[in-house]
Amino acid sequence: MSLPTSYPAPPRHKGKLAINALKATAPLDGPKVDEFLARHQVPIVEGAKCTFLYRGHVDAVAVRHRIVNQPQHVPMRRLEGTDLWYVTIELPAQSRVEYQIEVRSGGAVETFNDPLNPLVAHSPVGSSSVLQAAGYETPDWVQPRPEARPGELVDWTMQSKALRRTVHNRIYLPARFRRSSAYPLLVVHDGDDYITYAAMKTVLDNIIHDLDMAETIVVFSNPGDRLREYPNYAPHARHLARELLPAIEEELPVVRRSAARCLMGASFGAVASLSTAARHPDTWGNLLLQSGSFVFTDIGSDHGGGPAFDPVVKFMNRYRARPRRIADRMYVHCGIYEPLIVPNRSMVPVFESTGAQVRYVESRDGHSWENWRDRLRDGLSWIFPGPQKLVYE
Amino acid sequence: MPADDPFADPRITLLGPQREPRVPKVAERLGLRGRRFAIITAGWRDRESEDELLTDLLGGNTVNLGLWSLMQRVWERDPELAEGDRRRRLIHTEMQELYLIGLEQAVVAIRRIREHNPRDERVVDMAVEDVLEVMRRMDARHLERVADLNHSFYARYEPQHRDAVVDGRFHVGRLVADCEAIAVTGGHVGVLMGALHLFNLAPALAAPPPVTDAGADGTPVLLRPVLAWGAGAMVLTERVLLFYDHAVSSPSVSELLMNGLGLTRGIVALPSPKERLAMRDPDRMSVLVRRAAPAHALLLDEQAEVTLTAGGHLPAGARILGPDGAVTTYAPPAPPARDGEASAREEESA
Repeated sequence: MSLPTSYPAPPRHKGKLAINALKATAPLDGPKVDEFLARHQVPIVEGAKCTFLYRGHVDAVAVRHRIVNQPQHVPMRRLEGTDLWYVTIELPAQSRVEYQIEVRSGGAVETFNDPLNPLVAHSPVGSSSVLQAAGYETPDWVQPRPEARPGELVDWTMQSKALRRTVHNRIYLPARFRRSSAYPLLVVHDGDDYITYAAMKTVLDNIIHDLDMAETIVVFSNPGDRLREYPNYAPHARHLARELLPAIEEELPVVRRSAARCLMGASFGAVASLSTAARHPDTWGNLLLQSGSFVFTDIGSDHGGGPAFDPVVKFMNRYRARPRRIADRMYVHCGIYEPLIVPNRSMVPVFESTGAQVRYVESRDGHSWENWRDRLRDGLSWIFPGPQKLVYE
Repeated sequence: MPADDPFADPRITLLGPQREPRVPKVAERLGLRGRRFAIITAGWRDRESEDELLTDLLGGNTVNLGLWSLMQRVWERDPELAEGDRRRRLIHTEMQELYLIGLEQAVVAIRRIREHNPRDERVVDMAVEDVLEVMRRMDARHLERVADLNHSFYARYEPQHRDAVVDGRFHVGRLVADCEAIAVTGGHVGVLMGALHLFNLAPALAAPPPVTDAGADGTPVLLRPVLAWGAGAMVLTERVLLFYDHAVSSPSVSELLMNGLGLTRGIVALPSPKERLAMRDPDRMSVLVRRAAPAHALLLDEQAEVTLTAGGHLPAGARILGPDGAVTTYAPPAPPARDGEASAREEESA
């Protein structure tokens, strides 16, 4: 069942915006701007209005973000008589937006993180500044907690004939792991990135401690040539189903049923999860798909995504033409500020038409690791629910 | 209140969670501190043996029945029984899931009915009552089916005749026989129930109710005083109700798991209600209470200390949820008036 995402009412702000209050104190000078900046956290969030600021003697400044269907280059204006630049944009409650500042000085254009904003998000391709709109809160379960017993991460390397390379995995064993028990198995694509950029090890420790998620063995798998291995690549699917899974079952006490197995990934990692499950039906009972790059075309094959997406589009078009059940339960999540929101929304009824149980969740966020991090508790506790209802102190 | 001699008139005392342990004071007050306690920590599963603190709290003279470890040994010694039990649990889980689907729909129905803007308030009340009646029937049927499932398992596999179980029961029986009181802690309520059943603890805790002309519908006669909290409190009652209103993603409607040991009368135990229940939502609480009726929803928060009557009933003043979903205190029903008194009162009121 897909659920409508419930959002809080838009936040309200009474009175003048801070930037307008500053303007009203003209004539302005350096000390007034200094004092203004010292008083405010930047960007200034006042209800739905978010004011971005930049200070410097330059020719032009703009905010660059990647919110789909919005101008992604938002010019700032200079405040008369000062070197302070500003622009105010409106963002719905609980939004989280990654952005950078673009500055032109003479012929030189530079893009960098907002020097006035200490909040930064990291990813494999660099970092970005983060705007947390009204109502957004970093979940407390993404921070390490002293009371949560930590699980253990163990390096686990294997030789893959299918992929013709050595595969470097990390295995998460939950706290109090014991060989006499049997655990569900979760295989995570882009495993090291999930650990590094989405705090997934900490999240697992916390939500297992809180009994929100069942104690689970997690394989953090890592790609070689990601753009080749992840978009519907037979050797990758074969590696997971015929090499990794048997090896794990041989080595660790996992439940040997598809209902207790889950494939997970974001972006191309979600395509890899979906296509692997499609190639090996009845092996993976659950899928957790975040911001899946499920690009497809209704007419022709011109998708505009570049050659990397060719195998994705081919796979998705074929799947859409003849949908079939490839997992019993699917958790599908996407940010509404990313272009992939359209294909993800479109795929929900297709997945549901196969009889799979689908939980579809949207967030006011973009194609980013923190977005994926923020939905981990919801997704993982839905896929492998913890014994919260059965344990009473 | 219990009698001065706790062993002459043994009672069940239900407590709240023991994060800030009240056990020593309670045991002292009941005259049990330092007495020989059999402790049941099977709900802690693999941490079952980590009972040093509990032993201290009870006065140092305890023996852990080790039911969880014994159960693991039974599964190892008797794979056929282990496989049968695994299958029983899988079926139970599936039954639980399907029962829950029905309950969820009922909860949605109640919410939609309450959202309706009625011309007459009674219309809403009647419609809600109809759905509650459906829920009560679902609850009752579910418990019957789970009981049937368990009976079938016991009839087919006859654990009572299998060496591993017989040895375990004998061992547990001897340990309990040497003890003056029992303490049952919290933990995983399903595991705890499974262990108690497998080693047939019910007869070790209480004798069957005396048979009268009307049959044996009284309360079992407690053999020793029992202290219990968390899951331990729940398993002593007639029906084990699972509840957690703040679940991240699983359905938050309360569900019955199975019949408990039935050592109490008219009680549904709700440990840690502040943490687990949406207490500020009286409509929701009211549904829970009215579903459980005629049993009373007993709140067992941290300060709770409820010593039941000899018949296993609530004492006056116990904190419960009332039919309107608000917290109230239990008042026992007035004893039925004798014929002479009734006619005298009628005359007075006339």
